[in-house]
Amino acid sequence: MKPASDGSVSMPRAMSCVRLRSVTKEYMLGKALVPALRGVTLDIDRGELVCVAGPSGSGKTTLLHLMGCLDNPTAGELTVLDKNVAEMSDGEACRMRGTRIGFIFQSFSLIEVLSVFENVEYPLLLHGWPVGGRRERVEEVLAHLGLKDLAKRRPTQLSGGQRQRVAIARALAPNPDLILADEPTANLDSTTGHDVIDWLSRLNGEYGITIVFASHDPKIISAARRNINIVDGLIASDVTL
Amino acid sequence: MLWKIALRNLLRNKRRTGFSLALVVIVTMGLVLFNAFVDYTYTGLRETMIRSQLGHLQIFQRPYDEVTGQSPLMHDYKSVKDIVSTSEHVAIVGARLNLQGLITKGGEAESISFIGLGVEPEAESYLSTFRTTVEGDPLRSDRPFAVHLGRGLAAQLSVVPGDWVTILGTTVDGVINALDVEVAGTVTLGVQQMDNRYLYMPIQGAQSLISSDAATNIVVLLDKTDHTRSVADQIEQRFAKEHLDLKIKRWDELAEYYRQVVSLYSRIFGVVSVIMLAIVIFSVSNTMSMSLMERIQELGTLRAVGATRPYLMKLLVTEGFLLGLLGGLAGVLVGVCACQFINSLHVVMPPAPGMTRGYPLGFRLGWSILTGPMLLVASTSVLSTLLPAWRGSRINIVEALRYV
Repeated sequence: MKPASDGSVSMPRAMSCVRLRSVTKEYMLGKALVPALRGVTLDIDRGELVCVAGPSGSGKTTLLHLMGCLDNPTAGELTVLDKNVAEMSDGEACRMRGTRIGFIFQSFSLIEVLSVFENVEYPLLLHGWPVGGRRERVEEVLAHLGLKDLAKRRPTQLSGGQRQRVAIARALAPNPDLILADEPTANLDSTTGHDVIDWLSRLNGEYGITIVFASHDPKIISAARRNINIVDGLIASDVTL
Repeated sequence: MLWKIALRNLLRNKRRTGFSLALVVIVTMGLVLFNAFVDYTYTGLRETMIRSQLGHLQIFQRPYDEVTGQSPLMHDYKSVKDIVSTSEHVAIVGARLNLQGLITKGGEAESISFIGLGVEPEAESYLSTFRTTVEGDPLRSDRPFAVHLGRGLAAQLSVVPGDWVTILGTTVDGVINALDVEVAGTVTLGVQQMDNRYLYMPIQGAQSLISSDAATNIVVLLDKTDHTRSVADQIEQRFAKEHLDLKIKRWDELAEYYRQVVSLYSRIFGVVSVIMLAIVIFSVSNTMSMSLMERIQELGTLRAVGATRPYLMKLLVTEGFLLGLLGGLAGVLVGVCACQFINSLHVVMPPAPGMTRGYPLGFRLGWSILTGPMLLVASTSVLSTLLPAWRGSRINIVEALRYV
C-alpha cells in the first residue's frame, strides 16, 4: 500500500483502474468528421503494465488522452479511477491529472525554462504540496531515477534518455495511481528506449502503479504483460502474457 | 515560483521582450516628463496667480455677486484686517480698492481709460511679487499721490517717472473727481494687455479719488498654499462669532484662468496618455501573443500535469505585469534623470502669445508624478495581456499537445 499525496495511507481500492464501454471519439478535421475510436470496450485493472500497440493513426494516442482525462469521449462510458470522466468538471479533471495520473510524452515535454528539479517539482507545486514535503519528494524521486546530479541542469543540457527519465520523474512525483506514456521511446535509440521501458516496469513492480504505454515498436511491446492492439480505432486483439 | 517562471518565460526571447520593454520604458519616460512638466506648470501658475494678484484668500462685503465678482465697499476693513491678521498661518494681509477711470498727461487733450488698484504698498510688495518695477521708485504709504503705471500705459502717455498725470474717476456719490498724481515708476505684469491698462497707487490716494474710506476687498497671503481651506474655515468661524457679514473666496474659486489651464492641460495629457498607452497595449499584446504561439505545446503540457485554467491565466498575466512593472520602473528612472538633466540646463522658453516675458522650462518631481505613470503602464500592460492570457488558458489540451 503506497502513501497518498497528502502522506496518509489509502485504503485498498476497487481493482478497476480504467473502464471503457463502447467508447467512441470523433474529431473534426476541417469539415470532415474523423473517427479516432469506434466503440472501444476495455478494462484495465490496477497494477497492470499494459502496452497499447498499433500503427500510426490507429487511435493509440486518443485512447491514452481519454484515459488521462485530457479529453471526453464522443459517446460511450469512460471511468478512470472510479470516476466517470464525462461527469467531471474541468477543475476535477485537473485535480485528477495532477494528483492521480502521471503523463509521459513522446517529445518529453519538459519546461525549458525550469531546471530538472523544478520540472519535477512543478506538478506538486500546482497542487499545493508544502515546500518541505515537495523538496523531499522531488529529491527522493530524482535519487530513485538516478537524476540527483542533474537536478540543477536545464532540459536543453540533457540527452534524450536523460530527458525522458526526467519526464518519468515528473510523472512519478505526485505519487500517481496511473502513469500514461505516449510512445515514450519513439525519440530515443533502442538501448535508451529499453532503459525507459525498464524504468516503467520497475515503477509498476515496486510501487504497483498501473502503467499504460503506447508504442508501435515490437521490441518495446514485448516488455508489457498485456498487449492491446488497436487498428482503425477498434481493438483488434487484447493479449495477456 | 510563479514569479520566477513568469520572469524566465519573459527572458526566453530576449530580443522580442527587449523591444517591448524599450517601448514601455519610452512611454513611461514620456508620461513622467509630461506629467512633471504639467505639474511644474500648474504649481508655477498657481503660485504666480496667488502671489501676483489673488492671494490665498480674499474677503468681500456681502452680498457678493458670484457671476460678476462685484460686492459693496467694505468700510470697517481695518478691524477685519485685525481679526484676520491674528489667525494661524496668515502671513500678510492687505486691503485693496478697485478703481477705473481716465488718465491724461497734463496739458494733453487725449485721455486713456485705465484700471486701477489702490493698495497698501508694504503688504502689496508681498502680495504682488509678479509685478516687476521697470523703472522708478516703489510705492509708499507716505506718498499717497504717487502712482505706478503699467509699462504700456506709460508708453502710450509718453510719461516717465517724475512726470505728473491727471486721473479722473467717480466718487461713491457719482460725482466726477480728478486727482493730479506723480508717476513714481513703471511696472510690468508680464501680460501685454494688462501693462497697457493698469495703474497702482496707495489706497489712501485711491480713497481720495472716490471720496471714501472704504476698501473693495482684503487679500490674505498664507505661509503655505496647502493651508488655504483650513484657514478659510477658521476665519469664517471667527467672522460668524463677530457677526460680520463677509464673504471669503479661496484663490481656486477666483482663478478662472488657472482652472482653464488645468482643464486644457488635463485634456492634452489625457489624449497623449491614451496614444502612448495604445502603443503599450499593441506592443505587449503582440509580445504575449507571439510568446503564446511558441508555447502552445508547453501550455498543453502544463494543463496535462494539472495546471488549471485560472493558474495559466495568472501565469500569463503575471508575465504581462512583470513586463509593465520592469519597463515602468526603468522608464521612471530614465524619466527622473531626463527631468533632472533638463532642469539643470535652466532653459527659458520664449514668451507665450500675449505675454511679455518667457518662462522657465521646468519639471517638478513628486511621488505621484513617478508612481502614476508606472502604475498606469503596469496596469495597461496587464490589461493588454488579458485577452491573449484568456485565450491561452482556454486552449484545447489535446490540440495543444499535438501542436508543432
